[in-house]
Parts: sequence; structure tokens; C-alpha cells
Amino acid sequence: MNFKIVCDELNRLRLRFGKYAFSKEQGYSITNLLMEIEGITMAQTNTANGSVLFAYESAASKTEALKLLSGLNLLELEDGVASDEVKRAEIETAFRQKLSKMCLKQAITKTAFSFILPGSFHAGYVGIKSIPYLRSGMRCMRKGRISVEVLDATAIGSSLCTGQHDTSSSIMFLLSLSELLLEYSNARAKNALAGSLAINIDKVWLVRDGEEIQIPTKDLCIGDVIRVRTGSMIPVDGTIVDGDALINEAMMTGEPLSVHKNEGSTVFAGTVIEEGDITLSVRELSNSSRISKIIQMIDTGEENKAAIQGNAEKLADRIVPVSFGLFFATLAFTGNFTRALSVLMVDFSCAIKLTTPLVIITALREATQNQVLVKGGKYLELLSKVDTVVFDKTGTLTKAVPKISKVISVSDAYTEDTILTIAACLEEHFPHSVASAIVAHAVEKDLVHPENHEKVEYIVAHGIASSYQGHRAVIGSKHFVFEDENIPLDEATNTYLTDAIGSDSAVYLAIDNELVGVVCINDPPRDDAKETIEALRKEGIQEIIMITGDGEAVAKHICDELGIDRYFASVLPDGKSSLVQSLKEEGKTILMVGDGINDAPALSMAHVSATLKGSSDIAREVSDIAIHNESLLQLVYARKFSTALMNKISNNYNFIVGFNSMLILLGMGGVISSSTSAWLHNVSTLSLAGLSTRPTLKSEEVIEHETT
Amino acid sequence: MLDCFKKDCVWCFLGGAVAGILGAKVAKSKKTRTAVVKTVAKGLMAKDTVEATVADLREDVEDLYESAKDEAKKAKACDCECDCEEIEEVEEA
Repeated sequence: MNFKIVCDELNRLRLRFGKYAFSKEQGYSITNLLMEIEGITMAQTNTANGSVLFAYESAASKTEALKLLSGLNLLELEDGVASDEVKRAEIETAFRQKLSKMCLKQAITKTAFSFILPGSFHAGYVGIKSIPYLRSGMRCMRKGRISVEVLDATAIGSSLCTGQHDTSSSIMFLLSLSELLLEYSNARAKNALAGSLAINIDKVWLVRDGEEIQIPTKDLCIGDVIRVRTGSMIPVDGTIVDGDALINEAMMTGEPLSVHKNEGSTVFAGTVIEEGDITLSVRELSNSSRISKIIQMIDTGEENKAAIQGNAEKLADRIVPVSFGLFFATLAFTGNFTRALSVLMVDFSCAIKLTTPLVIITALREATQNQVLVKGGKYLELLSKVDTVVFDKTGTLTKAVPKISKVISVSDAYTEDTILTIAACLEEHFPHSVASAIVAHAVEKDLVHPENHEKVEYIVAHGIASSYQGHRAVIGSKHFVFEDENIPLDEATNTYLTDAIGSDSAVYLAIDNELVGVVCINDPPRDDAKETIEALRKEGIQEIIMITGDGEAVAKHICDELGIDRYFASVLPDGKSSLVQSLKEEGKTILMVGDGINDAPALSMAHVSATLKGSSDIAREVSDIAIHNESLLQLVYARKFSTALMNKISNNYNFIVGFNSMLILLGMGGVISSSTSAWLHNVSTLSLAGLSTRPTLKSEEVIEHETT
Repeated sequence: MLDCFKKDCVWCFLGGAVAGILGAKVAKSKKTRTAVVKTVAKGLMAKDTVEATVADLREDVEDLYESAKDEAKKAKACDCECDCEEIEEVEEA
């Protein structure tokens, strides 16, 4: 492809292929190809004139980039996908262009009709422009709804009939501007949220010649066979070739109950395996189906809409008949149509309906930018009302990476190192912080653990059962090993182990029905756990509770250290959700914070739930708030943020009612004309809408939160 | 009946009807269609040319701005160096 270099200075090179050289999507592809070259720090394309701009660090990268561009065959170049930054820039550019076009058109028409064209032209032009608004109003009337659309249509129509073309024109201009602002905020929020909710799985287990190898997800090809286990998110669309599982497809289908899938069934990217293992053949690599579902969720998520927003919209419609009532009352008492019209120009509903969703959409986007992904306005509202926080222990209150403190052998046939090797071999494939700790400790000690086990049965939050070199091996919690698997434990060994384990957590290993050893895990609390609990109390949380499957000694130790009010120890997975349910029945508003697969039912049961970075895929899917940060203090930020949001909505509401009531009174009293009244109302609505897009938390509060 | 043809409105109506029928025939003809398509295509190409020209201008301005920013940065750095040298000379003296 031929091009012309137009600028090559300051390590920036711009060249042009000419117009019609490539499409917008091909432009994204060119940008992505350039960014893959080492030394290229920035790349942009413009389809209008076929220009490509890139910034380079060295002459070698410049040469490579130019070689790539000269060798491009645009007939074969595939469409690319825009990066998040490019999408953000496109949204901003589109908004600025539409806004400039609108303002320019308004200025030109106003000037033309004021100085050049005759008045009848103005009437005709405004009349034609008002048709969609009048039609919308009549549609609502036919359905028997006296809504905001009817009020707008009446205001515009009556201004037209009384010859106040400027007034009706400015009402329509400000209504279009409000719609544009809402569309812009929506687009920005969707872009931010969709990016965060997209699948970010770096590695997958590829099955090749009967062996499993871990490869980066980007190296997958269609037709590859991958293995996905319990608690993991399915990274790509595919067809099951072996195994069966219960899969949570809530994100795709909205169905809250998991679905049983087996050989031959189709599975979707972004869904999560609750139980079972599957081997699937990759059918589709892009996650466009998931992204479109996410956007649909953001767009039409009535169930995720804040109650305050739904109530505001209903209230806005209920106020409309009141506005009409005031109009007729003013007309009856004063006999002055213009004065009565000024009442009609001022309505509470327009401002309420515009600013409330704007505030919430802006808040969702702002929270996402601060690494707190909230899946709907409803959850921010609930978070502001929470009075009780329930924490899971392991991985939530304690460090995400527990450490092995010691390995105890109770069998002469197995040394500590052998016990650790077997444990690592069994635990390797499972998404749990304790499993990762065992594997990491084995690696540190250079203990090689080849795949010597047969098919592994993983029982969530209990343990693992398998065969190791022909011997039955079970590893897991005390309850799983001694009660479920009925491994015998004599009193002397029990006493010895209780003293030896102390306040550590323990994972028991039994081979051929005999306890052989214990792996002790020291799971210290997170550095910021105590500070978070104190800060949450300052934010109005009345009770902090901890739930754990660990023993009484461990639980008490953590609670005393962190200043937690209540704890429940030795809780089985089903028990967690029942406990949350019973706390709800006590009348408490519960925030549940968890991370593991076994926390998913409790997370669903709570009024609002949150997960931190490093949580299992299913916990992140099920939770209402996903924090992309390992710091517990982000919970405090989320709580402060939700309270600030509710205050902002309340302040907006008070202003709308106060200011518009004053305008109505001034209009009824004849102090201001209907056009002034309309202008003041619309400008105040627009200003409030603009202010609604400002950050919810002041920058000083965000900085204070970041430095604490 | 012939008296009605003396009225202007009747002639206006008839003229309008004839114009409408002829206009519809012309509008549906192949030649008209081709002419309209060519005109619209030329209009679209003209719009693309304008957009390309505007893009060229905007980019040239952007490149000039980058160069100017760099010049200003260099001048500022040079001034700072001169001030530092003067301060050192004064201190030595």
C-alpha cells in the first residue's frame, strides 16, 4: 500500500494512505498491529483521510512499523476491535460533535428567523420540529397516561398556539440537550462497566494427547480442547466433549438456578461451573455474546435499577396531573392564559426523571474507575442502608495467600515431604487459596509432584478424594476426612494434633483409610482488616460478624485480634446461607463479603454482597459488588460512596422542588412571564443535569481514602 | 357545465392533477433515477472530500502544536540553564 509521510518529528510519525484506504474496523486492526511492535508507544488511525499516527522510541521500531504498513494488504486485513481507550475517545468525540452541531443549528436558526426570514417561516419550522413531541404526548394520552411527555407536548403546543415560537423552540432545544447528556452518560457507563465485566482469564488448561498443559488464553484456537473445573469461569464458547457439570448461566439467560450440561451441550463464555468438570471443544473465541448481554443488563436492567430511581420516575409521572391542576386553577382565578401557561412551563417531573438516572449512571461509572464494580444502582442504594457486615474468614479477612506453617506426619510410612508432595499433587487444579498455598510451598521446597493421581473428585469447601499411585487418598477439612470419609482417629492422636496445630488451620491427609499427616496453614489477617472494621463502624455499621468453616480456636483468635462482634465457627457451606437468612429475619440489612465457591449461596442470600480481587469466578459472578483491589478498605470507600450518592440524590430532589415551586409561585403572581419561567426552569434543569455528572465523592475524600 | 371551466380554481385543480401525474411519471423513469443516484453519489463524495480536507487540516495543526510545545519546552529549559549559570557566577564572585 502506498502512503505519504507528512510529519516525522519528535519521535512521532504521521503518514496518509488517502481517503477510502481502510474502514474504521480495519483502522482498529492497524492500531492493534502497530501496538504489538516493541517500541511503539501510541498508535491512532483516521478513516476520513486514511492517516496513521504512531509514536516510537527508537529508529528500529520506526522501521519495523513502516515495514508493516508498506506490506499491508487491506483486502485481506481483518476487522479489529477498538481498545477501551479508543472507545472512550470515540464516545467523547461523538458527544462533542453532536453538541456542537445542535448548538450551531440553534444559533443559526435563531439568527435567521430573527433577522432574515419572515415570521411565518419560523412558525412553520418550529411547527414541524414539534411534531415528534406532540405525537409522543398524544400517544401517552391515548393510553390513558398523563405523563411527562403529555406535559412537554402541552407546553410546546400552547407556546406555538400563543405565537411564542422562541419559547417552544428553546424548550425543544433543552429537551434534546437533556437527551444527549443522558445518552452520553449512558454510553460512558456502559463502556466502563462492560470493560470491567468482560472475561479476563489469562490462562487455560489445554488438553493435548491426554495431558493437561496451561497456556495463555490468547493462544487458544478454534477446535482446541480445554478442561474447566468446579468454581472456574468458562473462558470461551464451546461444546462439551466429556464430563458434565452444573453451570450458572445467570449472566446469559437470567436464570438464577444452575443448569445441568453434559456431552454435546453448548456452553457460553462467562458462565461459571458450580459443580463438576468438563472438557470442551472451543467453538468461538470472542466474547461478544457476553458483552452484548452485559450491555443489555445495563440498559434494560429494571431489576437492578435503584428503587429510588424507580420511585422518582413514578413520582415524576404522578406530579404531572398536579401541574395541569395548577394550570387550570391559575386560569380560573386570574383569567390570564399567559400567566397560567407560565405554571405549565415549570414541571418537577422533567428534572426528576433526568437527573436521578444521570446521577446513578455517573456514580456507577465513577465507582468502576475507582476499582469498585457495582452491578446496578439498586446495590448502591442497599449498601447505604446496610447495618450489619458478615465476613467470610479465609481469603477475605485473612490474607489472600495463606502460608504453610508446618507439616505434621502421624505415620511412619510417610515423611513430611512426601505428605506435602501428595497434597500438592491433589490440590494443584483447584481454585482455592489454601490449595495454592500448598502447591506454592511444595514448589519452594523443590518437591516435584507429577500427575500421579487419577480422576479427582472435588467436594466444594470440604476436600478432595482421589487415588494416588493406586491408593485411595482423601485430603480436606476435619469434618470431611473424619465424618464424611469415616477415617478413624484415636483419642491420643487427636489430643496430640490439637496441641500441635494450635491456632493454625489444618488440612488432613488420609491414604488407604488411615490418617497419615496434617498440613498446617497459618492464615494471618490482612494488614488492613482491623482498620477496615474500625472505619466501617465509623460509617454507621452496627455489627460485624465473621463466618468460617474453620475451628473454634482459629475463629476466636481472629475475632479477638480484629475486634469482631460475633463469629460462627465450623460452619458448613449450606450453613453460611442459612445464617445469613436468619440474620435477615432478625431485621438486619446485610452486606456479605466472601471469596470462595462455598460463599456463593451466602452471597446470593444477603441484601447486598461484595467480593475482593482474587475471589473465585463464581463468587465474583454472584456478588453485587466486585472490588478489583485486594485492599479491604475499598469496602469503606464503597460504603462512603453509596451514602454520598443517596445524599446527592436527596439534595437534587430538594433543589428541584424548592426552585420550581418558587418559579410556579412567581409565574402565578405574574412576576415573571411564561417564556422567562420556561427559560429559568430549563436552564436550572440542565445545570442540575450537568452537576449530576460531576464526581460523587469530592477529590479530597478520594485522596484521603487512598492514603489511609 | 362549460361555465365551470371559467372558474380559476377548476383550472388550478386540473393543472395540479396533470402536473402531479406527469411528475409521477418523470420521477419513476429510469433517467430520473439515474440522475438522482449520480447527484446523491457526487454529493456523498463531496462530503467525504470535505471531511478528508478538514481531517488533514486538523492533523496539520496538531503536528504544528506538538512542534511548538517542544520548542517552548526547549526554550524554557534553556532559560533555566542560563539562570542557573548566572546564580553560580554570582556565588563564585
